[in-house]
Amino acid sequence: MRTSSTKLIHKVALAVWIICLSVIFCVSVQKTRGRNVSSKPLTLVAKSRVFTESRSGSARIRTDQTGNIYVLNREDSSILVYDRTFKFLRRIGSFGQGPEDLMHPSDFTIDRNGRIIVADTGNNRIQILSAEGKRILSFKYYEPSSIDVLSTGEIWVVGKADEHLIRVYSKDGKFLRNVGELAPTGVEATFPRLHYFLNRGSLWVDRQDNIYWTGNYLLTPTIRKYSPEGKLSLEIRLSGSTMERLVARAQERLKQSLDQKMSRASGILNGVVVNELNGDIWVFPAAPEFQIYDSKGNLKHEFLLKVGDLPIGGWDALILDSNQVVVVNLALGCYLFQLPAESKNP
Amino acid sequence: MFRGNSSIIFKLGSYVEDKRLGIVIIIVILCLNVLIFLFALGSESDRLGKEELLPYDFIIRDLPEQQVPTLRSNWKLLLLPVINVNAPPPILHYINVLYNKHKERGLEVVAIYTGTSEQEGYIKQKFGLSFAISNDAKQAWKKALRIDTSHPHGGIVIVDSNRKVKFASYEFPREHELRILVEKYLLGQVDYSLYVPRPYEFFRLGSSPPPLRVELITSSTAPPSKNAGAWLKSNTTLAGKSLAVFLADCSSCQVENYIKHLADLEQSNKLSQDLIAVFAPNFSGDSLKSNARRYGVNTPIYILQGEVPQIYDAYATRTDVVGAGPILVSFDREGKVRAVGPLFEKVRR
Repeated sequence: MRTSSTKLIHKVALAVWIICLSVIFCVSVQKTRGRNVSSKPLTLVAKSRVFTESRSGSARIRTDQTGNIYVLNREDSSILVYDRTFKFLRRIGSFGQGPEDLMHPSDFTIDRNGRIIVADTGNNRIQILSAEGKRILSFKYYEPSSIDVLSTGEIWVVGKADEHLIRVYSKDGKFLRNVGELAPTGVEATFPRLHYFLNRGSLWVDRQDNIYWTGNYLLTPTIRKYSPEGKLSLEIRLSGSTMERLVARAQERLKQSLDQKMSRASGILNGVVVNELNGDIWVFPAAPEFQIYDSKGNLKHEFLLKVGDLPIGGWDALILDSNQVVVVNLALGCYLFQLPAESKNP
Repeated sequence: MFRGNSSIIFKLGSYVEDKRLGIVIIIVILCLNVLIFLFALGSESDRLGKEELLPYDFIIRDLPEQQVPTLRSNWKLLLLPVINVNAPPPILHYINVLYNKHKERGLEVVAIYTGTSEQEGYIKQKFGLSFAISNDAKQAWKKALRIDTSHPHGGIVIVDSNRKVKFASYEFPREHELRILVEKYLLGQVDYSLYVPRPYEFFRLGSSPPPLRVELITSSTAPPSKNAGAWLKSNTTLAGKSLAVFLADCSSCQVENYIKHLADLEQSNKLSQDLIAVFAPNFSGDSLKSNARRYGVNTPIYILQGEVPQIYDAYATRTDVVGAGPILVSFDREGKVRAVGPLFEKVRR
């Protein structure tokens, strides 16, 4: 009797010991993951407005090999070109349906030969223009929404109603292959149009030709990293209070869409930019917050972007140097921000 | 098989009493078939080729200009808005502005519709149109432009002096886009320095909203009058109130649904502030009145006059850029914008 009670005490003590160890382990892991991230995001106020010719409608910003800066303006359906001192040089394209026109372009990129490759959404085509805006070639694509190019000249395109996430074309516009499977959404069978909508994404290609696909509307905020061959090398699931808030809002919106049988959803992620200096992934959620993750997907910093007192959401960014960044806001234009010392890149 | 076929040929030949003649006839028929096939193939590829070039490289040879006596023959650019009389597009206001600005430079506008003369009169009066409007009952415009003039969205076609279509769409461009098209094709250059504040800048957080020109349609608290919207022109009167703004691609399809939203919002008691409902100009006042009675809506309902402010979330992220979704703008005690967001989030319980 006494032996059995001693055994029981030993067992309970062991169980308590294991539980304590588990708790300590979990807490330490949580602390490591949340290192450098304060509970409240640090507020960053814009230093100045830049590229003032591109007002509301600014959506994308890119640079070419010579250092010139290109800003895509959706409102005017044109691309504004600046030199490296931010001096306005010229405007490429204008609203219309002609051979050199653009209509509600969503995205663009510049290849190593200086060709400007535009997702000309309203005209259902991919437009390839010279640096002066002359048409080189175009090929049909139903509502392209995001585009980027590899160093080999391969053009990667995300559309609005595809069976796959990404389509890959040669530099001459010939279809090569599909990449990426659609993520499950729970409405595949009941509402395929909404399923495609929820799988819309945007692209970013880094200097090593890694392709980052960001789900704009997926209820599990996801960034996928693909090799140039189309092999999935990393999948990052984003979490945290900002993501939880956006997912809750998106779920509410999804219920509404299902009730009304409409293919609409609330955005969660606008896009990502990879910091070529250290491989960090800069994430722009559909909110005024802006987050920096390390290359493995751990949250490093979170900021709240403001222009004066007005919180603004980021859409795209141009990292100028280790502590200066131009953030593009669709409504208000481009703003220069200075990062605080603790988040500066090496 | 071949033998069978050849015997048929020779039998056929015997009908014309000469086998050689029979063979020749068969060969001729076969050749004709091949030619017809090739011709059909050619015309198909031609059609596809033309479709690829459409809509901006298509010349209208039979433009029914004679249907519009007031149309000047020396026009340089012809704007052809196609109107659904049940849901006239609010951009008609702006087309009128463009017409008055550029008519001396050769801009002509003919609005095309299919309907009754009463409907024509209503549209002319509602939008104060000074350009021509043409009833396409005989479908002459439809044939010439090769578009569906009874499309529920309407549409727009822009033709240059060579009768070449420069722009054609079932979706109306936005105001500044239309200005770009007119300046590009009429003046040869676009003045991008003309800056019109974007509507989401109207409702930026912390800002005072612009005066809104409105017409009162129905209210349980205020009597209808021509100047009933005057209080909306003063920002102080918006203090502590909420503005539900309803925009619509297809007002006739959405009016009932929107009034239901409004009734839900009233019943949800989620708003502590007074609610004012403002509808886009393409909504029908009669339809709003009857639906408001049907669902017992007490909120005062107004229709916007003039341009429609396309309202977006002040954050202007991807989230709320939904042109036709109803928006709720809340004002603080000073009459400044406190919050902007989609209306349905407030309605949902």
